[in-house]
Amino acid sequence: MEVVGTLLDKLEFDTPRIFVRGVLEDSETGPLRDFIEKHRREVMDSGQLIVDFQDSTGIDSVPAVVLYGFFKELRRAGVRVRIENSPASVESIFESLAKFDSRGMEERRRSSFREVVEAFGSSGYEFAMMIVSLTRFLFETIGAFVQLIMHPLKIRWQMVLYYMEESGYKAIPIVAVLNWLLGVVLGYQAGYQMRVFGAETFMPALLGYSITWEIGPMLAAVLVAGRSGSAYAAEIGTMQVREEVDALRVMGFDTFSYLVTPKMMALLMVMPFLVLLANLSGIFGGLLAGTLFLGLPAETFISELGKALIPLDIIWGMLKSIVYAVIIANVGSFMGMKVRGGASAVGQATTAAVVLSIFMVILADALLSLLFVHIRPGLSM
Amino acid sequence: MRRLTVSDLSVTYREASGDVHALGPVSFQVEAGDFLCVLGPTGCGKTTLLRTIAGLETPDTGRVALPAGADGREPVIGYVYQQGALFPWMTVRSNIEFPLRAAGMNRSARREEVETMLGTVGLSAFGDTYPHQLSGGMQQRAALARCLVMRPDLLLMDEPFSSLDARTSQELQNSLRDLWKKASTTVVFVTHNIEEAVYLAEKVVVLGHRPGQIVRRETIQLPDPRSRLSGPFTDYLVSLRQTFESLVLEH
Repeated sequence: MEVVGTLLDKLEFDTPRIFVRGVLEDSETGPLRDFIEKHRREVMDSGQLIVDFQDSTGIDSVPAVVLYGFFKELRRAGVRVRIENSPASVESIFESLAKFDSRGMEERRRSSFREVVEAFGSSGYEFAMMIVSLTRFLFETIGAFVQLIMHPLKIRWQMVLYYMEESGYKAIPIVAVLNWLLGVVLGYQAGYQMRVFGAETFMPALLGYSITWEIGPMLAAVLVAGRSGSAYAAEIGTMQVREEVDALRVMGFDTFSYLVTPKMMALLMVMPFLVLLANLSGIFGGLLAGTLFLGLPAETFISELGKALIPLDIIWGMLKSIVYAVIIANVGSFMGMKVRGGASAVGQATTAAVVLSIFMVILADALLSLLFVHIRPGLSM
Repeated sequence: MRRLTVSDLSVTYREASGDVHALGPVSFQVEAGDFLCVLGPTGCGKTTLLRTIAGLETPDTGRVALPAGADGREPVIGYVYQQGALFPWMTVRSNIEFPLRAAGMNRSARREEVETMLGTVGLSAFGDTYPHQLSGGMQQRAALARCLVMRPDLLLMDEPFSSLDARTSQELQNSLRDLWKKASTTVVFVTHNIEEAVYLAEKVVVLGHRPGQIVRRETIQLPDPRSRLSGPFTDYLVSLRQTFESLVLEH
């Protein structure tokens, strides 16, 4: 109470003036704050404040900063603030505070561009680092895979079968239906355009090429990435959160051969057949579109298709799916392994797994297409 | 050398938002068969210390020398987690059997070991239940059994009883001390509970705030069976409490 008493001696409020006497010291900051709190309402209401330093000889820096903060707040609220009769020392401290304040603003404004560049750079760096660790992960998985192939008895066949069922067998309906629908739409739209030129007999060839080269494998991969890539990330991520992965590691388990390789092996076994199924149902959809909407007899469709396609077209899609299987299993597991923290991290990991694996699948597809142009007879220019 | 030696260990986590110096440097030794409690406030790096000893984190500086196993084999480490980390898709029996199966023990020997262990931790009637069907205390018993069945040379425990109610946690503390004396394994037990530390441990080290460094070492000399009500017990409690208070004030 004494401190407040002595401070009140130094400060006196008489609307709209605050009279300051003597030197406001650092130790009096608390009471100064109390004083401001007490009179804030009155000052705001009066619409102006004059701080009179007539009987004052100086001010310490902390009270000055507190007062300056109060002035700023008042100015923002539309209150006019004036300092009167201040000795040089007080004036200079408020001036330098004002200067410092505006410089701070300038710096902040100038840095916004820099911030954008920095943010861009650091997220790019993070992405690059992630790709690096993903690559390392991939090699470790492949290493574990090769080792397991040498000792087939060590493979957890039970898990492989489980994942084959989850990722392969249970994906059959959706892969078949979606490719069939796409085949119908593509067959109808292509045939409709071609009929203008009386070229609808070429529709089966166009449909066969686009389904077997691109759409079948790609759509199957996208669906598997969405169904199983996310499931792998969620499964391993949840184990990671519950410290089960660490428990395995401490017990001396190789987490790769235990958690990752069974998933990859299962996908390697089912993906080619999912692609085959996707191709067949897509072509069947096209056949249906031809017979129903374009008046193209089924025999014609099949014979035209037979002339256009060679076995390599089908095999190529199945070969590509092996690459996709490796990508999807690894990206999913990698994202799961990367999970740190709580349940929300698992959600982020599943999303990231789907996005990144679809991205990588399309990237790989583009690269493989370049190769395919050189391999397939009749394609190189 | 059959003791655990931790020398100048310090760990920094590299995160996107900057480096976090989580621990150290700390140095200490634990004799074979001793029971060490690492006592410290939340976030002081206790868990990091355990994970580094277990080889789950890589230290920046310093090293950990594990106690060698009997007849010179690789030391076996058991790790009991805060939440048990039992495998939810396995029954309690398969959970406990799991590390033995991984070690390549044959089926009949395995079965025998598991049944004995179930009896030791008082879960004989619960071998065929799944972890989620058990109470928290029973889950921790099962987790402890899964570690003890490997006859670990070093048992690391990360606040295993902190999520249990006071009574269950006391019960488990009693069984842990009994089990430790029977198994004569080295234990490093991490906790923020002073009473738990004084009751369980032979040695206590206190870590300060992040980055955790040892602020006090204490040897608990209390006769067995330990009583939570005895005068000397309370003296240790008060004295360690004082160290904790000063840590809080410092913070």
